[in-house]
Amino acid sequence: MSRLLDIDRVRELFDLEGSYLAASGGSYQDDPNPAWHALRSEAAIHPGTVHELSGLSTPASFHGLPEPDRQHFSAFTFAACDAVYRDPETFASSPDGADIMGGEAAITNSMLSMGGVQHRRYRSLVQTSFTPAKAEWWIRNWIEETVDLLIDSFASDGRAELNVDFCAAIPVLTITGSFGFPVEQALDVRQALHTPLELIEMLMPIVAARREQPQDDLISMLVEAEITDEAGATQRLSDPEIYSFALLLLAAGSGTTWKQMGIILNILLSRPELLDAVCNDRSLIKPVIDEAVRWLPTDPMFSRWVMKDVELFGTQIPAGSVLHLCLGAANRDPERWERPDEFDITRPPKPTLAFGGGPHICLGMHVARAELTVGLNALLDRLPNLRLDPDQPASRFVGFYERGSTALPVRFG
Amino acid sequence: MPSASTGSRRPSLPSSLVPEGGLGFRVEVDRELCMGSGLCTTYAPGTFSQDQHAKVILADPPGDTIDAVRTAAEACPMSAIHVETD
Ligand code: HEM
Ligand code: SF4
Repeated sequence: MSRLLDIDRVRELFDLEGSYLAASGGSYQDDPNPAWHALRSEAAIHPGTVHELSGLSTPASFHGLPEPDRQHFSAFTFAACDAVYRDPETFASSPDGADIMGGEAAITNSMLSMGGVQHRRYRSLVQTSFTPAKAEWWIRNWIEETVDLLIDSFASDGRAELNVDFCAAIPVLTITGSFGFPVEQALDVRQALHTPLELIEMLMPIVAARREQPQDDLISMLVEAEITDEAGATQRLSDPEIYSFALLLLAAGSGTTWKQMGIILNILLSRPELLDAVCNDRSLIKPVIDEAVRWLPTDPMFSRWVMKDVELFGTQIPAGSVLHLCLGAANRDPERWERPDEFDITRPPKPTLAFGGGPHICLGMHVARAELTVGLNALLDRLPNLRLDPDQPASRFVGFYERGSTALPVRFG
Repeated sequence: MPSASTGSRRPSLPSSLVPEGGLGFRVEVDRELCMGSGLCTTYAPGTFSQDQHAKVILADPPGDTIDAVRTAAEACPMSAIHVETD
């Protein structure tokens, strides 16, 4: 049976409970929502980090962590998180910005850490490739083929493990494909996210080739993009600028959608009536995705650095502090959603914070939605009578700062 | 209130479908603030679209219910959309 990717390697790189992701709280097995409800009902903002306030004693690293020399605060209401996102001058996405030409290559040394006009200049270069209207381009060039090949690899087996063999593979193949990497290199790229210089070495020949001859892909768009500096002069992006974008996009675009898709499939497979309804009426896929990113966003926390003394929802926060936004708690705020813990796809449309907010709102959200939609539709089209494998252990939600699903063993046919 | 853009409008609802006395609300967008997220177009596609630079384009008159347009305004990460009732 020909496989698109080395599945054992995928399992190692995409095991939330394994060592690769241990630092972000991979061993966490509980439901944090009861703790978040209790915290939110006491106050919008608490001193401390989200994991400590939620009862985790093991250290964790993620956005804004560990930062041992700073004071930490965490916000748990929708209103507080939303207000912070809408005031990027007071609440910056990094303590000291980005230095792409001089600084070292790192995922955070990118537009992720920029503010104000500089962020806007860089972001606008890529924004046009990530609009809802561009979703078709992503689907046609990368998503559709990836999804079909993945399902081909297990369609005749009558059983599969979807979390890794399907959910993890789609986004990593989509984003590496858009950067011109062949399938055989996709996992090397994923692994090299921890060693940026190696990743840059893998990118160099592609950038050089696209400078020679652009193609219809994302890396060509970056190579051809022109940026306007403060003085109004336009010029092409330098190699370090392209590498910076590449590191950020390859990191942000491969893990998140995997975990969110595993969460969605876990939700659907454990509710056979809902799965059946969605199978018969595909217009329900959109409300399923909307409700799933509200109910269990894969990255339930991002952080902001407080640039000046502020009072926020009754709490004094000194300049220099880190403020953690518990998006997972905000998305279940009873002030905004009735019966917030219920998974209910009939809710009227209402924006959530699953993709963040403000100027740094997720660049890839429409690509992620396209991956989720095409992936779900294809599974339902090609695997009749899809159900959890009754002979395998039940699938659970795990992880703290990176939440996802354990293995999703299914049967079909 | 930031200044509203007047350029780049496109028609949407045929005027015969607009109730007499208007829709009862007006929409303004600040194209300077808009960062091209595209979220408004997903909540109210009859009212918002994007140009080739991903900047918002407002349809005149709006082609969605006031609820949909309000949801789009709330979703806008830059708070660039304003809805006013007559
Ligand atoms: C379901 C999947 C996804 C979720 C839940 C998600 C979530 C988020 C969130 C919450 C943020 C804001 C971070 C902050 O506030 O500091 C963000 C930013 C970002 N995301 Fe996503 N994301 C997803 C998929 C993707 C994909 C597929 C891509 C790329 C192809 C992507 C690229 C980015 C980038 C580049 C940023 C930083 C934007 C900036 O700093 O201007 N994301 N994402
Ligand atoms: S939601 Fe706001 S920022 Fe996004 S495209 Fe519409 S107006 Fe622009």
